[in-house]
Amino acid sequence: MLVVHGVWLPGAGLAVWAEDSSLPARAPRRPGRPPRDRPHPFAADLPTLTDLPTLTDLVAHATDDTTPQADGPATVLLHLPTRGGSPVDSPELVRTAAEDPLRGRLGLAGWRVSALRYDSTAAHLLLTALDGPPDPDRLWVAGAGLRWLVEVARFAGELVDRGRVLPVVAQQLHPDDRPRAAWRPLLTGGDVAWVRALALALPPAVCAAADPRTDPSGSRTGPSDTGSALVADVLDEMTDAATRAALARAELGRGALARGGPRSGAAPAWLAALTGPDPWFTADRDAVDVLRTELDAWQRDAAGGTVRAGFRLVEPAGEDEDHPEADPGLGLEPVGDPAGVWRVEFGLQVADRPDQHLTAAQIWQDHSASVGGLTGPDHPPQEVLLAELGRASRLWPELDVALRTAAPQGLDLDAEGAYRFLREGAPMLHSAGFGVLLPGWWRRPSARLGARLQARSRTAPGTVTGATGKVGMDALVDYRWEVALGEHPLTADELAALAALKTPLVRLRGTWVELDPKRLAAGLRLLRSSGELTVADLLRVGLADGNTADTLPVLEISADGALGDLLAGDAERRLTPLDPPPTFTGTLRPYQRRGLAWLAFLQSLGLGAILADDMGLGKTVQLLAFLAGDPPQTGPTLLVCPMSLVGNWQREAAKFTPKLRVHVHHGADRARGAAFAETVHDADLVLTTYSVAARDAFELAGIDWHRVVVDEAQAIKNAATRQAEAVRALPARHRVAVTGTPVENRLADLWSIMQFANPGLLGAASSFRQSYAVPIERHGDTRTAARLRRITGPFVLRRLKTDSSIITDLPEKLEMEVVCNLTAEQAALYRVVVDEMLARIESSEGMERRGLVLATMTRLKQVCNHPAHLLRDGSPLPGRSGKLARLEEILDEVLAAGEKALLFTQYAEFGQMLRAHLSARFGREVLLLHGGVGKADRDTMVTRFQSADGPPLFVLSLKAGGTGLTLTAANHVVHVDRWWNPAVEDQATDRAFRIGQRRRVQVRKFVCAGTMEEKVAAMIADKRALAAQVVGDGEQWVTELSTDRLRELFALEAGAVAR
Amino acid sequence: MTDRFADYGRPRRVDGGLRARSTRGAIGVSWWSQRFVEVLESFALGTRLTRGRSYARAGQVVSLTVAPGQVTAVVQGSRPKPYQVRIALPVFPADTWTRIEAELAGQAFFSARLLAGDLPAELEELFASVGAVLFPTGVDELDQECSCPDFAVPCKHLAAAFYLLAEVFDADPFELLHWRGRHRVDLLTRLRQLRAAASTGTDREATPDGPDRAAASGGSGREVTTDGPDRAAASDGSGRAATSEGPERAATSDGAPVAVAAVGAYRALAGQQSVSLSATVDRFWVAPVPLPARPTTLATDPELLLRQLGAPGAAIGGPGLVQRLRRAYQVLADPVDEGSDQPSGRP
Repeated sequence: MLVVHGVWLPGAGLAVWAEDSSLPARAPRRPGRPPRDRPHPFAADLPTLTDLPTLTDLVAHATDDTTPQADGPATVLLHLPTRGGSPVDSPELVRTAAEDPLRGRLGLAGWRVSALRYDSTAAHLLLTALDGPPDPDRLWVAGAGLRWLVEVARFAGELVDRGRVLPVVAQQLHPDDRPRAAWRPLLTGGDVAWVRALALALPPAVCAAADPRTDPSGSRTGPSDTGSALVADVLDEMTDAATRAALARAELGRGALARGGPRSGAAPAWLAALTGPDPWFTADRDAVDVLRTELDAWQRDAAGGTVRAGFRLVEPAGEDEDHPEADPGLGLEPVGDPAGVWRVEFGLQVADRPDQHLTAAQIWQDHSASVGGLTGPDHPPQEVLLAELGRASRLWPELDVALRTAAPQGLDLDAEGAYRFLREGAPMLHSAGFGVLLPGWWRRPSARLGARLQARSRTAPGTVTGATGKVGMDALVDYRWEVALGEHPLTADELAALAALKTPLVRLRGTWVELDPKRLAAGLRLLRSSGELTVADLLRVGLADGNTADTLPVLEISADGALGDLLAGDAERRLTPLDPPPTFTGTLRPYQRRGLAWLAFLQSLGLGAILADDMGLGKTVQLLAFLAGDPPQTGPTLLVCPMSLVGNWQREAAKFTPKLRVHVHHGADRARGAAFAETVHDADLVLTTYSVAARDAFELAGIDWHRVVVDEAQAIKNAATRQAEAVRALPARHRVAVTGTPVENRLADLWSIMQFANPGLLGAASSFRQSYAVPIERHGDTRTAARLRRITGPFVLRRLKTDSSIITDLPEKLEMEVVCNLTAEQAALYRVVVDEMLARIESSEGMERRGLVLATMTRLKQVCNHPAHLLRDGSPLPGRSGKLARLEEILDEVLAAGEKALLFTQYAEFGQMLRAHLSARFGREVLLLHGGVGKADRDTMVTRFQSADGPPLFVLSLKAGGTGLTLTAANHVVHVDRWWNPAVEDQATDRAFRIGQRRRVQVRKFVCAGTMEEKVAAMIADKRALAAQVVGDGEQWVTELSTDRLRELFALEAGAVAR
Repeated sequence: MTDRFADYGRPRRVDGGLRARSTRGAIGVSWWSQRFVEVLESFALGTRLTRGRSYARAGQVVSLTVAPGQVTAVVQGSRPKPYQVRIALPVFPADTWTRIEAELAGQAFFSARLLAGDLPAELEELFASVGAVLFPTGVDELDQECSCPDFAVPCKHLAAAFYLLAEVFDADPFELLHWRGRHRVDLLTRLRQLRAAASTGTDREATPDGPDRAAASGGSGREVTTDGPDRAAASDGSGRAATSEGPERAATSDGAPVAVAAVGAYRALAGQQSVSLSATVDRFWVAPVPLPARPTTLATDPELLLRQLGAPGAAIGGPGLVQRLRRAYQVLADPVDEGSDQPSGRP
């Protein structure tokens, strides 16, 4: 396992190195004084580093010869915590073998490590590529320092998006003395606070390359206090790189800005170097000085000082408190004095601490008043206020009116002036870094005009039900508009009356509302319009952002009949729960019957569905019940799922819908051409995997599918992948996407999945990103998020275990057996073990035979766990075990939901393997408790796991962790392998399921299909009620079985490997 | 550059001299410094002006000091000993200043704009209304002296001083008032006292209680040479103590940075205490303070920054520079399509 660390070298970019758990933890002891630097004993060597694809794809950039830091791979001297002559592991590093604790004093010592070097351009590419959840195939963990660098790079990207950058001449010179053009962040307000938070969160490891010999503070004990300068350098460099990257995407290459500009001085060369990868330019030194000075003079006002002016808009004093509303013929008569005086009050505040402020009145009273300790007798606040007002008035000249008095405290405005301030002045002043405080009703949707779209189906009301009344995306509906102020609909007359007031801000029924003349006119136009449009267009109307000057925001879209139920977004609750068809042999819980009704309802409308229930709520059974309800001759359903789930679907289908004809389309010998068409014709459900769906895209597209279902739909979250494109291109009358991951959190994923279920509903990916993903994910725009929810809501059914209406349906403890497939490698190993051991068992007896039987059991269970568990060869884990693949999928959902899990195994060494693999796979700390852990360490682990931000995964050996502990922070328990003793397993399960647990606990017991695991599980289930004592004691009873019975028990059944 | 007046020879190079910021075209960006340069150009001879301008750009002016009634400068010519230059102008009498101060105190507008670095055009009218003329109208108002042997007035040394003076006014319009008799600190202190008197309604004679201007500025004159940090430390109330201004920067920008740049991340972090590495050796690998949740940011027009800033100096392209940069800012907020955007039609 590798833990990858990032070290920032001020002025020289990023160096990446790694700890390798497979290397010895100890440096060789040498007599005498420790040298100044030694090779790090367990730092990964260069070949290992260059083998990591994400890291090395970008090294090419680092060796671009136009940059001075073109070292590429190199070694770097780091100062790392050291104890007893060896460097101390980072907390992310997991070793398979426990080492004796190091002794001695903890100090810093120099260690030389191999590292990949990146200049700032390459560093930005790398850090941006590392942003987001780790790639499942990634086999290394990012250290906290590297994760911090990723945060800074993301922040730089946001600053660039918002245009908070300015071009400068950098202080740094090229070794050949050429100056450098650079983009630098301009930080004001909240951005200052954030960069300070980033600086406080800087892990010291990022500064490990700082050299104590050049320590300005003269400290000899270790690297110097370079924190702030280093943070500034990282952000500056990332901002420059991000700006250049953004400009390069828009095809502004070197020189793009210089064309047609001035021809003399340093400016043209500087402008040319602001775009393109090469920041260096050639200019006369004096001219560069002039340029630098001029730029500084020009940009000086942009940042403002540490103390800023604040502007607070105060409404005219209302009279409604005293007088209950008069009139309300329409309820719309404006109340209050239309000529009321609005006021913008002035004050001073600390730039990044708006709570520390003084009003202008206080400042004029006391000429040495202190604003956050930054003004006072030596820094008179009156002049600071005046200077700030002077700067603000340059942006918003209307302020000049207030400055005509000796000691201005505020600016009086009429309604129109206040409206201009709200719409134009306030956003401008705020963005320029001034404090702005606006009344709460502004920006509230109820305070402005909005439009509601009402649609009526073409068919007569009442017939749009069941399977008869398909609506479909292309069906036409009649529509008309309604214009409303908040909840209150307005007639054309009322709208005209409001327009006649000719004032943009009116107090109605106690609250202020915005009456933009252009929007009033737009409202009148809407009221006169009506006509017909398609369902797809109807749904898309709500997507438009109505916050422009002459359009109205769409508040609501409603319709009658089934479409109305759909648009209301609560179809699931309104529909009558459906009973599963008689061909479905299981029973459905009430919420599952509602889910079935919802699926049938959307199908009846000809619309695609996304079933996104929380994991453990039974998406599979709902879907099987739905499939079972298809009338005969409907045509086949294609179900695409990950390889690891094919067997599960097969078994569940056999269990709940035995009449369903299932065909698995997978494996090298899968049917092709006419044979395939024939097979499909005879099947009701065709199972295939994503990779086959991509490979056989053409063949699959030739079938007239009744329905296409994608399970674990996050597999197509990346819209550009071949799998996603192939699946989207499959023709089908009905589409269902099934996912347990909360799709609404990652909007790009949501788009891609919706593009499968209801193509085109969310528009093009680019416009979706611009209108939704950026505002919601970057700017936390809740209104946009609500609008998106309104549009997607009807098509997504997501019920949570925490939902009280669901919980009442659920047992306290949800136990399920998870059947996993073997991989081909596992199956081959399994057969070898069975053949060899049975031969030996046959020729033995007594104690020896018993021992051999138990050893066989152990070895087979190890094979089922993982080939590397049996072989103990330290070979890599990914892709070789069906259990591990299934475990990863389950943990993906657990972690995505922010929940925690306990993983029980009876083998301490497999626990070690799991811990190392899972922490690398998820980039999260994984705890491991086995018999060798002392009490103090065990208590620490339990406390950390139970704390809210503690590690989410805890691997426990059944013996060490099975009793005594309270681990109620987990609500998932996985028994990765089995003890066959329900009492022991229940006791282990009860670590999570005990007093203090507030959630339902999901318990999963893994068994491998077709192996003795599955057969023993079945035997225990059969006999449990009758003779618990027979099988109650672990595996001993197996040793008493006859050899023939053993042969049956151990034999690998067909279907163990999903073909 | 060859010198046609061989007897004067080439001017000696000055290290650390004050250098005009503009490299081409007219000197002086703001309307008020242009007004001032116009006065000079109205009576001076062409070649000397041109040569004075190149002196100013070459950094031949060793120092320039503004004091009430006179500006003194030291200009390096071709001889080893630099020339002493003096430009005198009558200061406004005390009663004029009293009336002006009363007017200025009555409207915050003037102080606000001056403190923000502007000289509002109305200020000239206000001076005129009390019978004072802010800008010199002709050569006879100015008493010009230079220790050089050139008989012409103004000589190129005087002209160089004039040009640099214009840039001093650009950077700080208070210097123009200083020349006319009121130092910035004195003026601001007086205005504060007048405001206080007006608000408390008393007629008491305002007594100086602000910072002593002599202490703050070191005498009657103010060096505009290499005193950046000094200047920054002076209590000028502009709220930007950390930002020093143009000419100082130019004089010292060859090498050591003078002050924290307004742009760039360092400014936001200046003064933030970060922990020493050796003190955190036991918490070396982890964030000392976890990152809080990211507060939401306001989506802004990426061009806003360009609008907020005034016009850049002529030397770097003036308003044209903004036009060219706008092209870059426009694409910053424009996410570019990354392909696979076309929704596939419903089959």
